[in-house]
Parts: sequence; C-alpha cells; structure tokens
Amino acid sequence: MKYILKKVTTMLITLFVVSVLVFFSFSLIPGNPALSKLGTEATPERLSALEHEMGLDKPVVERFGEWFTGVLRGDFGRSYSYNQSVTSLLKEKIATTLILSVMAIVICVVISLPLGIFMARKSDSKLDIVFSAVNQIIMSIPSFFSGIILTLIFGITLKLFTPGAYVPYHSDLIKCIGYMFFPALAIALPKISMVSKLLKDTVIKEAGKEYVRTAYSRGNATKAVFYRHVLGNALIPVITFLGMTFADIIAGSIIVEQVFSVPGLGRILLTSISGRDYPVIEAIILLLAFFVVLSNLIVDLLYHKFDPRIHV
Amino acid sequence: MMLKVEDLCIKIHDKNSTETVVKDVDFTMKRGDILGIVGESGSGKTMSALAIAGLLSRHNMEKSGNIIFEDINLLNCSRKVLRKIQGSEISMIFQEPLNSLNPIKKIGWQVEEGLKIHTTMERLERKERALKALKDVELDNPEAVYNSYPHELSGGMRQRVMIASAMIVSPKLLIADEPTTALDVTIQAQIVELLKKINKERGTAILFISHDLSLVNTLCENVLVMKDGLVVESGKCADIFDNPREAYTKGLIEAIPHNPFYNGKVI
Amino acid sequence: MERSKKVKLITGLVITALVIIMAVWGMIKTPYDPYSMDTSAKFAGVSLKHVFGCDQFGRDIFSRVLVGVRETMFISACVVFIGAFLGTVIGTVTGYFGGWLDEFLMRINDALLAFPSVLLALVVIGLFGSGKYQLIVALGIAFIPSFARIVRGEVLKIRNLDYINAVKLYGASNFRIIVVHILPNLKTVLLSSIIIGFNNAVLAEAGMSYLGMGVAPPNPSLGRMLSEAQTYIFTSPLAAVFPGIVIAFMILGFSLLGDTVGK
Repeated sequence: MKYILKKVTTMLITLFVVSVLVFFSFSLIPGNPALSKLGTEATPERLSALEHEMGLDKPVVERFGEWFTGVLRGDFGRSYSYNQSVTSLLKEKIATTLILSVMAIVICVVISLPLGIFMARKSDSKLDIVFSAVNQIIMSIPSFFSGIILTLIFGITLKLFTPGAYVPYHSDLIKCIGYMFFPALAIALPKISMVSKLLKDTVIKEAGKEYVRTAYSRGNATKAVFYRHVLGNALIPVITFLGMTFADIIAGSIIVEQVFSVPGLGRILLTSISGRDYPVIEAIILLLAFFVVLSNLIVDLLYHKFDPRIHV
Repeated sequence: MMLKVEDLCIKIHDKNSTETVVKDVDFTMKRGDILGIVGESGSGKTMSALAIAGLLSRHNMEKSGNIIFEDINLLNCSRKVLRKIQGSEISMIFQEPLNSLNPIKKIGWQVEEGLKIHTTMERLERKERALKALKDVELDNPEAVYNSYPHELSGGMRQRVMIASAMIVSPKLLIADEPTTALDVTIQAQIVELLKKINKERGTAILFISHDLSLVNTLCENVLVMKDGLVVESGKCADIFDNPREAYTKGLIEAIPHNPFYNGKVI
Repeated sequence: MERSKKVKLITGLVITALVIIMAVWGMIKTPYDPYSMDTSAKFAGVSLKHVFGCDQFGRDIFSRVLVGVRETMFISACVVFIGAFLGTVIGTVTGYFGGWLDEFLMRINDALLAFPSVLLALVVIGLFGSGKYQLIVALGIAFIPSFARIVRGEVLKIRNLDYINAVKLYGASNFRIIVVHILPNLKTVLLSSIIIGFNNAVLAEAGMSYLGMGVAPPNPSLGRMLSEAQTYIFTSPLAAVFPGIVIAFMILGFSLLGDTVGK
C-alpha cells in the first residue's frame, strides 16, 4: 500500500514537471501567436485586442496558473487554428489512439508470450536458427514500413481491408476494430520479436538454476516444473521490458496512424506542429506523458506483485 | 536391502570428448542407515548422489550399472515411475539453500509442494502438515516462516526449510549433498544434529555427501571415500579415521583444521 | 566466441560496410542526378537502367536511395555524437560528484528516459520547427538521457574501485582522476552504446522524416521517400518497398553489431 502511494506520488510529480516544462518552453519561444493568427490583417489595435482575448498580455506565471488549473479540470484552453476548445477537439482522437495502442499491446502480449515459450522449448533444435534469424529481421523493420508491407499484402493483394477506409469507433466499433487490426499488428510486430526473444533467453537462463533441480527432486513432471517454477521467474525481466515497450507502442501509434490514415492523436499532433497550434501541442504532449507514466505505474505494480524481492 | 548401487558408471558427452565422472561405484544401504560419501570436488560424489535421486540429465549423459531402490531399477525405469519415487520415497537437499528455493514462491507453498504432487490432501490439511514439518526442523515461528519468502530468511533457516520440504513426505531415503558447506560453523553443527535426530526418530536413511571427513565422522556409521570417480576406500567411519589405508584418505584427514569442535571423536 | 555470435558479428560487419559504401557512393556521385525529373520514366519499373525503378516524377530511386542513406547516416552520426558527448559529460559529472546535482539531474533524466525518443524529438520540433538541423538537435537532445544513465552507472562502478581511492591518496585532482583514470575505462561501454545508438538514431530519423519532420523536399530522405511512395502505392508499390528495405537493412546491421560488441 505504501509502495503504491509512493509510486503514485512520483507519477504526479513527474506529470507536474512535464507540464511546467511544456508550458514554459512553448511560452518562451519567440513568435507571437496572436500576430501569426491575424497574419496580414494585423493592425496594432486588433493585435492588442486579440492578445487580450487570448490572455497573452498577462505575465507568464499567471498564465501558467490559469492553464494548469484548467488542465486539472480537464480544460486545455482553446485551439489557435480550430475555433473550438482543445478538449472537444481531442476527445475523439484520444479514444482512437487508445484503441489502437491497447490493441497493439494485446496483440504483442498474446503472441509473444506463447511464442517465446515455444522458442525456448525448441532452443536446441534446428528451428532455433530459423527463429533467431527471422526474429532479428523483424526486429529491424520499422513499424511504418511493416505497415506499408501489410497494406500491400493484406490490403491491396489479398483485399482483406481497404487502405484508408477508416471507420470511426462511434459509428461501428466492430468495423473500427477490424480496420485497426493491421495498424496494431504493424506496431506490435517488432515488439513481438523483441519480447519473445527476451522471454526465450530468460526461460533458458532460469531453467538452468538450482531451484529447478529442487522442483524435479520433489517429483514434478517437466511441464509442472516449467509452469509452476520457471515461467514465473522468467517473466520478471519480461515485465520490466514490457513496461518500456508500452511507451514505445504509444509513440509507434503516432507514426502508424499516418500509414493507415487513422485520425488519432498522432495526426492532429503533426498538423498542430506545422500550424504552430501550441495549446493543442501542449495538451497532446501532456496526455501522451500521462499515458506513458500511467503504463509505467501499472507495470511497476505488476512487477511488485510478481517479484517479492522488490521492497521499496 | 533398501538401496543397492551396482557398477554405477556415468559418462558425460561433450561436443568432442567424453569424460567418465563416476566409475564402477558399488554400495548398499539398509533402512535407517546413515552412509557418508567423502571426496574432493570433482571426485564424483555429487554425480552419484544426483544419479540416485534421478536428477541427472537424460541428454548428453550415459549411465550404466544398476541403482535398485526397493526392487525398482531407477536407471532404466520410466520417467513416470521415477517421478512417483522422487519426492515421496527419496528426497534430496542441496548445498546452496538460497538458490535451491524458488525465489518468488512463499516458503509454505514450497514445503507443501511434495504433498500436492504425491497426495490428495486438501489445502488446510496440507498447511497443517507443513506447519508441523517446519516445527519439526526446530524453526521458532512456523506460521511466520510459512508466509515468508526465501530471501527473508537466514541461511540456516533456509536449510531447515529445505529439510522440512524434503521430510514432509516421510521419505525412506534422504540424500544430503553438502548441506552445511554454505553455512557458518555453529549452524553446521545444528543441522548435523537435526539430521541425526531425524534419522533416530523417524528412521529415515540418510546419504550424506561431504568433502569434510570430520563432519561425516560425527554423523555417519559407514563411509565411502571417492577420488576421480572411483571408490578408493570404504568401511566403518571410525576405522577409516583411525587407520586410513590410502594416502588420499590420509590427506583428507590431515586437511581437517585442529579445532576441538571439529574433532569430536578423535580427541 | 560462440559460433552464433561469430555469425552475427560477421553479418553485422558486412551489412554495415555495405551501408557505409552506399553512403560514400551517395556522397561522391550517383548513377543519375537524384533531382532531375524525366517524365518519360515516370513509375518506370525495375530494369538494368534503373535498378530500383523510378518515382512519380521519373527520378531514379536508386540514386535517391544512395543520397538518402548518406543523409540518414550523417544525421544519425550527428545525433549519436551529441547524445554520446553530452551524455558522457552529464553522466561523468553526476556519477563522480554525486550530491544534490546528481539527484536533481537524474530525476529529470529518468523522467525523460521514460519517453520514447520520437516523442521527445516531436516536442523539440514543435518548438523550433522542422528541418534537417532542427531534427539533429531534436534527436540529439532526445538521445542524451540514455547515454547519461549508462555512463553514470559505469562511473559509479569505477569510482568505488580501490585504485581510484589510492590515486586520491596521492593527491590527484578530481579533473585528473576523471580524465586519466575514468574516461578511458568507459571505452567498451561507450562503444556498444554508440552502436545501439546508431540503430535507434536510424530508426528515429527514418520515422521523423516519414512524418515529414526531417530533411525538406526535394532533398531525398529514406523516410520521406516511403511516405511519398505510399500515395502511389496502388500504381507503383515497389517505389515504397526499396527505401523501406534499405532502412531495415541499416537497422539490421547495427543491431547485429550491437548484440555482439562489448558483451
């Protein structure tokens, strides 16, 4: 309980630090958002009126205070380029990106764990060489390229899905998940090969330890030794790695959204960066930071549950 | 005879070489016997013990001879038959109690595991038995130990836990492979006393493997001296200690530090 | 060395050598001008004349790939240099001196380390705008934390060795201890981190330029070639395949080397 409390506190501090860093960096960079919004129509009167409207005439610390209390209430301010609040602009995109990331994580875990176990079982057969080679190659293919390959094979050649025909989740959730399968697979593929390789290595390492001999000496069958003793120990480093992988998967979804034209956080982040729509960028970064920190927290707690030796 | 080992040979095949680690080992044990095997590291004593416990790998190893335990030849019976004997008739404890325990399972779970495999007992009954087993190995607070993890205990406590988990199934034979080597001298003596008590009260035969002849002398009646995979000397412990025939055995005796605590019987 | 390790090392060396040859080739002279458009060769397929075919403007893809490899290698080298240099400085200072500065910087470092480098780089690009040099700065900054963490760990290990204490007793200054006794010992760990860094830098650069945040058009970059070719994927799928394979090839080489060197 104390451990959870400590972890949650660190998480909140990290998020606060991130929000301070993000807000001040975007406030201090040169350039006047009001001026760029008005463009050629700028006159001194209109400029100062707009600056007042956007709150730019107040000192930066005061603006941070207003922004931050707003964020706590779920209000990220107004977008510069879209005439609506950031929150309403991002709502749907958040859900879309979350569906994609969660699907990628599920695919990664569901495939890589059995695969890693299978590879460990076959580690002294000829198949091992094939597995290692294929794994090494898949690991090297960036998700946006595997996304294109998947589009070529399953979209254009086999016609299992129509590239670009994204279905929003609120109009048809099943169809949406169906469309998202290949993007999620593209994100998951390199992670699958990394996780399964790690699991294979740790299983082999754990299988050589002395407690395994003890387990055999009690009359356990090989399968029981594996599932009751080896697997739990072998999963501990895998869980740590999965924690880092979750963050990577969230970042990966930003790129892969682009490949499959999925209108999630990644797409709007890119348009906001080119359009210098700072409130939207700030909000997205903070949200992504929140997801990353949250997934780290979940992994920490899982880790704590799996490995009794950790007492922090 | 409970255990009859005849012409036991073990060869390890490497990629390009074959090494014979145990050569023609013969001995017998009756119920309630305590037999010691001494020798330096690499003498084949641990290999012989592992062979009897059925814990040698089935790959890259060649075993010949017979290990007959209660009329079953452990060297050529099926895995299934062997598993029925492992952990119910023959139990084993090892040198490093910390590494021999699963780091992420509670002590209670590990002590009970033998019962889970070999009996149909209910959970509560198993727990009761486990607590009794922990009490029998003279652990002060069995309930607390039951709920702790291996890393939370001291070395001596861990070895007691190992003994409890080995004895919970009331085996006929307990194989102890250097069970005290990793422990402090005072703890060593306590563990040896505990093994003695178990042998006396429950009639469990003990095969005690050690590199320490004086320790064997305090516990065992009979002893085998092994060197390079061969049995070089065997007989009553006291005789061999007083009157060693082999230079190797003399060497082992001379290697014992002159500590009154060690030399129990010699003084 | 085990046989499988040897195979990995040799394959990694061969692939990396090929990549470097491509980069040098792209530096000196490409078979075709990578910028000249030839409407007659629009979407030309694979042939002896154009080994990778041509793109939507009839530009030779192979020539553009060579220049793209050059650009990717240049950017990755700069990124790894910035990350390794500043990471080593920060890691050495915090690891050697400890104290509140160490505590403070490592807290920030760990927080940054939790974020994927592409995300960090996007933040920096959001601040300074996109372009080749902005990308180098953005990724360079994003690469500092991992180097700092590794170097700090190593320095902590070395600092507590007996001989460092002995040298201290002789009155050596901190600066001398760091330069003479600690930095040379970081060689192995730095070498393997730099190779792994290259692996990650190529991946990040390709990803960023795929997103349009890198080298500006019409200059060729592997990632941008992929995204441009994707528009025409129905008519000319191979135009996307070749740059992608080259990116994967580069990453494969570095990851094979990273697996074997220094471990």
